[in-house]
Amino acid sequence: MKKNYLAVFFIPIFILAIFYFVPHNNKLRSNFNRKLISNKKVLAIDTIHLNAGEIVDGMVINKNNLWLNERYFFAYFDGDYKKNVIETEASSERSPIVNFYVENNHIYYLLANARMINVIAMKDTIRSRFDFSFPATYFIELNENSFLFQEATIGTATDRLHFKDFKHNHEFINDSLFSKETGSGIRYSGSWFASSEKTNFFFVPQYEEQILCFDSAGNLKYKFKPIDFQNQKLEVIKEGDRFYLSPQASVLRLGACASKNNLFVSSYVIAENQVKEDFNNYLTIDVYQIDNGKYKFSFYVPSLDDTKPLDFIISEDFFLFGLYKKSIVKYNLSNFLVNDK
Amino acid sequence: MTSRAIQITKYLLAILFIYAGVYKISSVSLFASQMYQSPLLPSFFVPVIAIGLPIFEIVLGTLLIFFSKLEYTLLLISFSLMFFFSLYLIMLFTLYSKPPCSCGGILSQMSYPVHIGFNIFFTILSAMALYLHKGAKKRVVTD
Repeated sequence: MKKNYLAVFFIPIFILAIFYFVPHNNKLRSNFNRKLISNKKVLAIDTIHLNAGEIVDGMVINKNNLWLNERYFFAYFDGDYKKNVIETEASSERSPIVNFYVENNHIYYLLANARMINVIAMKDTIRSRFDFSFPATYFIELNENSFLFQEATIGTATDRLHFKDFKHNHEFINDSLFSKETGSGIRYSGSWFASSEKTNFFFVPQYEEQILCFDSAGNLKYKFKPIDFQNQKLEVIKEGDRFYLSPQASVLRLGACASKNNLFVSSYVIAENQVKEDFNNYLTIDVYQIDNGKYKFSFYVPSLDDTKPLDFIISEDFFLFGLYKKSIVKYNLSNFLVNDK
Repeated sequence: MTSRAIQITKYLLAILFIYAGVYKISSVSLFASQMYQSPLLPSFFVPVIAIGLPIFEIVLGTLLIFFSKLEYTLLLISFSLMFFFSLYLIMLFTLYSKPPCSCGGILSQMSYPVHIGFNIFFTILSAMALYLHKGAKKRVVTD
């Protein structure tokens, strides 16, 4: 009897000890090195505390104001960090705001399951819209009245890019860049954003390997493999009417943005020359040359409450806003970015 | 009274195991992908656990309800399993940066401290049931 009690007590401890000490094969290859800036150079200078239950689903900086997508409304902070709210018609769980941009005193935004871009003029809050006929998961404004959409019917169709110029009623479809595999939309989650001068438009995928750069006419300008390139096998699995990525697929990067001549891309792949503890306690951000994707250097952004930043954005005067679960922290990067050419 | 307490504990454990097992097996890819993110589980072991654990939980839950002859052994296994889950969560919570929990359903919605508390409660409950079972058996022998 006593033996039984000892066995049920020690068997779990024994199994967990084996798990702990057995060498874990890291699926991601680390056969590259980073040029790391000392983490002491990233200085936190301010914190915006989020209310309990407040969810931020994306950030934009316009004229040094920080804008937040709070799923059903927009919030923006002026220079004194006073919070202002702009209401939208987004109301239910099924149609939150998917993504948005602020340009020339107008807010452009897309709601889930809606085939239109909504526009709010900030001056007089007059609302207008651009209708289109296809389902879209992301959009980016290329020029006035022309947009590039990531078109995807969730669960069934392939992903493709759809350029549409509403002013000249011109459109074209590019279905050669993304996989034609059914349900492949899930493979192409990622970030869309523009360079400061709005000459380069980027798509940085979470799982896929290549970063894409488009011109203002919606044509592919160049693509490149970032330094943490993995060549991981991505397989789409169907279960019922839902699609999943193969369980082995690892998120390689969450969040990216552009500022001045720099392209900033987060990375979840440790380099050969990185200390594991630093990598776990900080978000690694790789910096690339905006014109050609050439790697420049990397830096760290600290974790808060054991969590790496969920997203980030960098202003033109090199302030980084890191989004955490309960707050947004402003960091000053000008120590090393202002002198960078 | 003692036997009723054991019965209630058995049913509670059975509901927990069957619920968690069915949830995991109904979305086995999701369960596997969450376990791949666990820093504690060796990746070669994940496919085995992804299929084996939910089946084991469902079988254990069913046996707890219908096979009272195996009561003692099943309570021992239940205690061991709950003790394992509790330790596993404590290790994730204290040693690593808290990857998503793969328990499934409402269990995944709990925060780590609440989930650990929940597991410890069921571990203690199964330990008490074992203790009561031993006491009841002694009484039967004495009588």
